[in-house]
Order: sequence, then C-alpha cells, then structure tokens
Amino acid sequence: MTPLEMIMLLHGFLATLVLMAAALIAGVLLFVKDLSEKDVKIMKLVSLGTVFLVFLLDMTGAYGYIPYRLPAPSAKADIVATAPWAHEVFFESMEYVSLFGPIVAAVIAYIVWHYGAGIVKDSAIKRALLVLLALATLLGLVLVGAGVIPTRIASVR
Amino acid sequence: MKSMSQLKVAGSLAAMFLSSSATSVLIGILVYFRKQLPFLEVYKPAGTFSGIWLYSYLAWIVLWVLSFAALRNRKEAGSLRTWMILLILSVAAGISLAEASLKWYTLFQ
Repeated sequence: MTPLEMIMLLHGFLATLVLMAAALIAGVLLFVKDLSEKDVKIMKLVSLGTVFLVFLLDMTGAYGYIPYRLPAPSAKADIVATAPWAHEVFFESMEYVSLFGPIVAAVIAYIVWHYGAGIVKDSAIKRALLVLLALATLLGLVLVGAGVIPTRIASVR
Repeated sequence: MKSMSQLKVAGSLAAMFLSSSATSVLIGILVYFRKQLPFLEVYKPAGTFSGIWLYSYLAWIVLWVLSFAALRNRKEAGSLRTWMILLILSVAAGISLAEASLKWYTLFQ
C-alpha cells in the first residue's frame, strides 16, 4: 500500500469516526437527563475533537485531491472519460460542500462549551443542537455517498 | 422551560453564529464565481479550491474576532431561534450557490 492509499483509507475512516461522534453527541442529548462535571468535560472534548476530525477529514481529502486532478493518467482523467457526471456532480459536490463541515461542527462545539450541562437540561438548547446534528449528519452521509461513487470508478493513485 | 424563540443568546455565541453564517454564504459565492477569480489559485496543484478554502476560513476567523469584540459584553444578542434560522439559511444558500455552479447536465448526457 502506498502512502497516498493509506491517507485515502484514513480519509474514509475519519468520515466514519465523525458520523459516530455525531451519533454519540445526539445519543447523550436524547437519553441523558443530567451531566456531571466530568461528563461535561468529556462532552466538551468530544465536540472539540469532532471539529478537529472534520478538519482533518478535509485535509486528507485535499491531500488526495492534488494527485487526483493531475493530467492523464490520473483518477480524474479516467472518471471524466468514462462517467463525467461522477466527477462534475458527485466529486465536485464533495469537494466544495465539505468546506461547510468544520463550520457547522465548530458551531455545535461552541454551543456545547458555552452551555455545558445546560445542553441536556434546557430543551431549547437540546433541540437546537439536535437540529444541527441531524442536518450535519445528513449532509455528511450525502457527502460520503458523493465520494464513494467516483472512488468506485477510479480511486486516487 | 424556554422555547428557542424565548432563549436569548449571549453576545459571544451570537458572534459565532454570525461569523459562521457569513462565511457559509462567502464559500458559496467564491465557489460560484471561482472561474472568474484567478486569485483563488493560491496553490496551483490544488487549483481554485486552495484559495476558496484559505480565503473563506481566513474570513471566518477575522469575522469571528471582529464580531466577538463587538458583541462579547452583550448578555442578550437575539434569540437562539433567530440565529439558528440565519445559520441554516446561510448554509443552505452557500450549498445552493456551490451546487448551482456544477455541470448537472452531465447527468443526462
């Protein structure tokens, strides 16, 4: 396995981790009634760690983007030749829409840091966080799909 | 128990919502006009994507610092509902602008 392949594997793994972290935060909001000081610290670290993971996800994607867009022979040239829509719509969507990920993740983390234990006690804060988490997870799943389609045609090499 | 419209947010949180909303729209605008903005090609191997990323995130940081400085002492700066609507609409507008610049017609070729 080449270093590039390892980084692209890490890219996919990070996407899974981010979705799991979002599910963890949503689970706490839905099922936990009270948070101890230690729990609040963990939630703050999880939310901040998720921001870091989303940013790292974008960084690893950008790392693969450089060899991807090289002139032929490259993954982009193969995809454009066989299924241009997979690049023009799906890959490009993943490329640009992923930039919104760290922004939404940072807002979620800021709310968690700002309100602490209030995120499970105050229904308005809980609802706001759940709405943001649901939208971010939906967006994340769409982007994972948008990334898988071109990768199945020709992976970065 | 307060609703989202009754809950007033502190200025520091409003600054986060404001800078993030503005940056979301900015990303959409930069993506939409990327082919007419050569200065976005900051790092040639990554094309205009490099500049969209760099400039939008720099703008995010600057906007956050400025709005935080302006709003940090305010105990109440709008309702959570207002800021949530602004953020969601801004992200939706940014994504719509980015998607509008893509070659969707290739799906039907």
